[in-house]
Amino acid sequence: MAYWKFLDYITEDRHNPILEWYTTLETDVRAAFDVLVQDLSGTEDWDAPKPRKRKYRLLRRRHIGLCELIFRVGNRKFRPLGVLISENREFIFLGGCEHRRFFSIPANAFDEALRLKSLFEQGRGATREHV
Amino acid sequence: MSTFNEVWRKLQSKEYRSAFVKAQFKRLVPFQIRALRKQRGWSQEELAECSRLTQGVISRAEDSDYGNLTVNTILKIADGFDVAFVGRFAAFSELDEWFIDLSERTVQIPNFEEENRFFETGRLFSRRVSRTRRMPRSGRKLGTRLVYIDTRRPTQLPNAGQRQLSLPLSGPIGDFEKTALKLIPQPQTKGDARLSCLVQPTPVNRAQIGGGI
Repeated sequence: MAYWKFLDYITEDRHNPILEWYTTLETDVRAAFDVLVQDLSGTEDWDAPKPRKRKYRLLRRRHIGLCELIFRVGNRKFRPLGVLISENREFIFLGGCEHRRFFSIPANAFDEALRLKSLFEQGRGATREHV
Repeated sequence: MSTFNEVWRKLQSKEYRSAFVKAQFKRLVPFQIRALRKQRGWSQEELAECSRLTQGVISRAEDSDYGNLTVNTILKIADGFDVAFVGRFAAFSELDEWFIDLSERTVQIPNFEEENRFFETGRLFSRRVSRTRRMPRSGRKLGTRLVYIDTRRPTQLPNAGQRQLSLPLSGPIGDFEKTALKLIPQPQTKGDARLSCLVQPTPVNRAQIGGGI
């Protein structure tokens, strides 16, 4: 019944960046992330809410081509990162981070996601269904 | 997308279960409000008018990050949709229904008037029977209308817990009919531990449904 499919990117050396990030999270953040993924997979039009309330954002400038999902737990903001392929209704996870005002944790999360994106576009690595 | 087994594995941790229920609860009501409004083709203003609330309240009610949605507001919105709101405790095994299979497509809740039309034509029954999730006793013959349910003990199968197969509908049928007529439990395909429901396009005799319970 899902409208959207979520996939994990697996690097050539068999690393799963989103899973590695997920395992560093606290339990309540993991639960919120799982619920967000389920929520978005069952939502046909992600653009229906006002821009400020959308659960995703397409990045620009330095990280153009990347897409971040948006969720928060208490006052903390989290940003799973990936590539949005609207035509196929797919989102491919490339990593994630906790978002602070002037930095993210891990600090290189966006650059790393961008690097993985270029590998993915070169056809290197693989994807598998997100669980 | 998560499957029942995978989510169940995560739920082994009590801490995760608590966090999951909290996160899911925050998501569930806003998600349903959004889906029902979309299903009816209403704007937030229209729903606000029916619910005697303001558009701003509806906007916040649809936002899962907004943490102060009150029961009073939910009840007013239910009134606006002319549907019931049932806050009830549930077993984690109902996960399929309220988490995994939940999408805008599956949130199809008719209002009272729509249901009443089915009631008046004799096609609306209590949904109590379909909630019994037990395997039928093996060897019993099941007709298309007559249903027997063994309420003594669920059968344990090797791949118990795997997601059930979705059964095809027997003919063209509208979304509401799918909901309203989802009454008759059918035996599961061999290998599945849970009972699923088959939509019956024709009305059934209530006395026959109750036969084996």
